Amino acid sequence: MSAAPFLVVHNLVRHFGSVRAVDGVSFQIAPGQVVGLIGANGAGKTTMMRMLATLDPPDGGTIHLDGINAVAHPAKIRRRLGWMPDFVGASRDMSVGDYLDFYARAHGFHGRELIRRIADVVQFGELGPLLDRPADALSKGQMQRLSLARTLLNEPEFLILDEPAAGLDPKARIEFKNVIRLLRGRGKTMLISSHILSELGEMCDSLLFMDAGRMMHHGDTDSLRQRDAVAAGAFAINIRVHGDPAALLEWLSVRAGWRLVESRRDGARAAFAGSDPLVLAGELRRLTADGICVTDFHREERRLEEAFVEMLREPAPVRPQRGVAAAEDRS
Amino acid sequence: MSATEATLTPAEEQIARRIDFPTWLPAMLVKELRQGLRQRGFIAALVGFQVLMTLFLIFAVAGGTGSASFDILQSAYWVMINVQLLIVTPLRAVTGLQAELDSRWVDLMMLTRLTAWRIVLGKWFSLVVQGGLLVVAMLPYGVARYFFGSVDLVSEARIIAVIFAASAVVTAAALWSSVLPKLARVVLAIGVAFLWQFAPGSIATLFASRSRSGGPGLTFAVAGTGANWWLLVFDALLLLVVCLVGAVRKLSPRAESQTLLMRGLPLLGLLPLPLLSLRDMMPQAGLTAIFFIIVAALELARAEEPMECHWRAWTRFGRWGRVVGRLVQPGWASAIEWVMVAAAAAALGGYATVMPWKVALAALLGAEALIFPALLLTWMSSQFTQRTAGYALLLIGASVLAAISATAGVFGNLATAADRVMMLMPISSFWSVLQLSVPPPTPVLLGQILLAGAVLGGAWLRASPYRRQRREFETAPTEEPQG
Repeated sequence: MSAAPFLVVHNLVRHFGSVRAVDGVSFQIAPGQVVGLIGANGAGKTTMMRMLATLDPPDGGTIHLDGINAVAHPAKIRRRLGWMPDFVGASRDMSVGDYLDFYARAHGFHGRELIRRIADVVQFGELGPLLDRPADALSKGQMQRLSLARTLLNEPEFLILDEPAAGLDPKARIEFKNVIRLLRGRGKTMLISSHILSELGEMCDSLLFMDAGRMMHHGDTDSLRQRDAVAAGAFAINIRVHGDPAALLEWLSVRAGWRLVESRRDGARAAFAGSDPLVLAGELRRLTADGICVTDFHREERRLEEAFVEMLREPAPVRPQRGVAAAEDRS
Repeated sequence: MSATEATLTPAEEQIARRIDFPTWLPAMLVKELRQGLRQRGFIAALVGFQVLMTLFLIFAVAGGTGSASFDILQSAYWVMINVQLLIVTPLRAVTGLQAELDSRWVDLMMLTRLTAWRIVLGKWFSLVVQGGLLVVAMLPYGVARYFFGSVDLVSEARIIAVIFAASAVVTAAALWSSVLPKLARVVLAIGVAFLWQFAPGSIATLFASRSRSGGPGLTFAVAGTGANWWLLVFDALLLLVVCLVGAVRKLSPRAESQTLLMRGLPLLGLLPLPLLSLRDMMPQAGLTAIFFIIVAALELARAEEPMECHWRAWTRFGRWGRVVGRLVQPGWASAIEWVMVAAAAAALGGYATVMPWKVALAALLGAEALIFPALLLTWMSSQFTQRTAGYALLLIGASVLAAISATAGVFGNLATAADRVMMLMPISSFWSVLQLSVPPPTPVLLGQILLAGAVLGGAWLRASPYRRQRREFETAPTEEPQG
């Protein structure tokens, strides 16, 4: 990663009584990156997001956004971030228009600028027809659009979206994914939490896995899908052929680097020793050149849900001792 | 249409048409006014009082001047104003910030340029404005009374101003209570209701001493005491700001400390003393002491730990900055130093009085009384969250025990033993010294000083990790924000 990290979280700790809701979490996000935050209920996602949004002080560790200490200078950070929680926070007797007007004023806009900002986010969220509707009487999808519109009023550089797709119907989910793409196009750095892993896999550059307050993994989605195979220095390949697969099975048994894992009615599942995609491409050319009629040849990928479940089974990463962590903090 | 409006796009025009308050008005004020003026409670109060007053007016007109129905109109007018300003308006504030905290809306507000101060001030000001609107709606009946009877308009305007100011203070207190736990809110409400019975302008005093001209008892209550108006306004302002700081504190990020304001305000009560006559000086000093005790209790019960930025805010002012800074760091450890310094200052100030020994002893034992519960709290588990309640329980409990022991001394045959215990034990020793007109016997005095020294020394020792932390803050590399 060549650019300096935009967000640096180091050894973040937050406890409620004896419960460590966030337990020594460290990670970095580059500018313009979209990062997914995954974890079961109670994993510490919302607690961490609230700390990143400067709403709760951490009990230990540091958060720096673009070099600014978020704990010591929350006001400087707040101007640059947008937080979309899993609630809209609209009160009674408040229309959609009043809601946006209030937040635009709260961000310090007035006059023509205030009108422009509201008009922009209304257009972005397609909220025009809803302006006179009570804000607390919208459908879930409309509420999410309103919430996102509020979040974008001050054109923040860093967006924290907490369960933005929760409760949305399939159509609204697709629309939401498009919105994320649009925001990515505008260069926003985003941290998105969700339970729906496949969705995050499509939207995010990298994924953070949390469990019981600890970070289990931080990496890009491809590496996660192929983690097992790559770790073993091999690709898992599914091959389908036209007609009898006997020729394929024989080819696999004699060809160096290949190992048959499972024969199937229309092909085979095999392991190829090597992790260079170019070598693999050469093997495919050789396979067809040897007269085997290949109809499908693809690298097997694990579903993110499987990766997540497997990760939960793994022993937790070793946490630095308290004294060491404190010394690191001070340094 | 102005030139600016002419260039609006259709989408912007749609937005511009909807905006009903000027865009330069503060966000909180606009929000609260929009919501408040549409609230059923406000509409019901406005319409209900109008209907009632219209009925009273009709009866008064039918009865004529000097009739019983005219007297009822006079009473009803003042009762309505009192109810609107001193009951309805503060009651609307009681849930003011709690609703925002419960709905977590305040989180969203805090992520804008709104500071905790702007949120609280906007809320409070809009409530006061709405109270003002209710009073303005009552003015026609005031004018009608002028036509039907002899009414001193200047005096009544002054009375309304006083009630309005009282309403502003009580509303601020109610707003503060809205961020407190439910139990604390109930206790505070009972306390305010109790004290209100003695306050000028309360409904009780209105009914008890309604003047012949129909004016409220307030005229007599305040004028009769020869009250120092500017002093009243000054004290009311101090109380108002303390209440607002209390509410602001709950919303502020941890890095933004309100401790300087909270701990400085009670001491401001001493400022007018040199300007006062001897007669006014003692009540003002007493009021300041009560004010100080309340704030000290709140400060000594706070578990909050100071941050590096709190300390660094003072170190840049050099040696004197450090001296002041250590007294205004958040949390009980710094509050102990603040109480000790204030007690030392009070003891020195005692030399200007006729009984310097008494002031000095009261200051020492007062500091011991305030710090003793805080010292006990330091041994409580860090998970104990009801620290303020625990502190108050210890302070009030020990005071009640002192009262019981004093009663036992009077009614039983235990006078000597009870007196000794009362005069030595922390907290009760403070109350006992207030009763003395001559210095206590030397053994008792020595015992009091030794015990007070042990309590203060113990607290000082318990606070030593925080002093060490301050030194660490000094030596830690400076982290200046970029951008």
